[in-house]
Amino acid sequence: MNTSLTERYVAATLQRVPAGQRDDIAAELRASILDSVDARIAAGLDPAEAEREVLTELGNPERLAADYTERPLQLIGPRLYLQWWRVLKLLMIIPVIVTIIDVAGAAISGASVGAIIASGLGTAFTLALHVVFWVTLTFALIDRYDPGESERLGSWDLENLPEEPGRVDIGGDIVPNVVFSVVFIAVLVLGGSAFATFGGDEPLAVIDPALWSLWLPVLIAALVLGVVMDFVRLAIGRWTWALAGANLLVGLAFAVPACWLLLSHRFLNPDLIAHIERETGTDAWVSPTVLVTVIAIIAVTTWDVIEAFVKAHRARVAPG
Amino acid sequence: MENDAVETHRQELRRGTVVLACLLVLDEPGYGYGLLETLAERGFSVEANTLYPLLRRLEKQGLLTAEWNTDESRPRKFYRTSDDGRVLAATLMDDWKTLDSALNELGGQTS
Repeated sequence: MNTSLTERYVAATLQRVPAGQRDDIAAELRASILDSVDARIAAGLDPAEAEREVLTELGNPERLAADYTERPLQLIGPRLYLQWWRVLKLLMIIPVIVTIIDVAGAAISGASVGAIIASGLGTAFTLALHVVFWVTLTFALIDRYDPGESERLGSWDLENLPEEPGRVDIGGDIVPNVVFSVVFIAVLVLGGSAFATFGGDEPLAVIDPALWSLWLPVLIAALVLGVVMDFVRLAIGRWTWALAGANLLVGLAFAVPACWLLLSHRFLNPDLIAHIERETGTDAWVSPTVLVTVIAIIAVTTWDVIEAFVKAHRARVAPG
Repeated sequence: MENDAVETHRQELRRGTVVLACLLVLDEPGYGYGLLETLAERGFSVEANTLYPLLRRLEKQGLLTAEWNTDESRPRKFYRTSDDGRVLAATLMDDWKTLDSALNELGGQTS
């Protein structure tokens, strides 16, 4: 009888078995296999055929070895899985923030658009990979070696119940939004007023005062509208599709004129730029500053709009 | 209902009884393949790759004792139900009977 197949099978199983148990498992497995084969031969099967049948039925030797040694064949079990996923999503904010900083840095240093995109993608990908790897490794180790901690992490109680979906959270939603809007209004008002002298004789405004005739009021009006909507939302108690849509319009009403003004070099006070050029001999700071500001405005507006629609989606009243 | 789903439910039912069946059959000493055949004859179809690790696990838990028999040319590991195993078997048997009568009450059929 050709036993090489059987021997190969037993050897393959033993590979995953700790040394102390090897001899015992080897002898028992071998005997069981040979007994099975003998029984099939007695039933009329060809010896080689019998051997193949028995070994095929036993299946993957690695799996058999795992069952023998009671080794868990999983990385993160169901007990910890949900928690792992949650932590992963939470920590993904890190790659996002760092990528934004990286892109801004590349823009300031005057890189080409292609280089900025490549750098941003590279940073985002690498960091995301790191987050996934380290979080998964930590959870896998806890799952495998610390059942106590695993139990604690995976437990749930009523405290963890999320608030009603889409419910307006005054502290986390209304207050920050209103505060930011007010701050920006103040920035625009002060920026458009000549109150600082920048080391010269006359006080100069940062923002071109000519914009007071139209665009500054427009921008301020958009921000004020945003604050009004915040209070409407407070009254309603949750996000709605209408509110999200209005939020989109108000966001565009601010972002589009602001970006246009910046990119067409109409935003900053030309007197100020000239003054700084006289003092420092350069105006190279203008373009990168403009670019960074535009990127920031686009990023924040996009995030705000998307977040509003997501919240509106979550808050939609269930039918029936 | 899909065949796979039916099979899964039936397997779940059978899975719960294999340990008890082993403990009862191994009141008389038995070895790997021999036990497989005996269980099959008595209506407990277990796969080899389930039974062999199970025997080892039960031995580790002290429910079976094991001894190598070198009488024949092919040495075989014989298992036998230990005292602890016998106690557990009795408990499981009681549980089984309780479940049986409870299910009969629910289903209204005589076993």
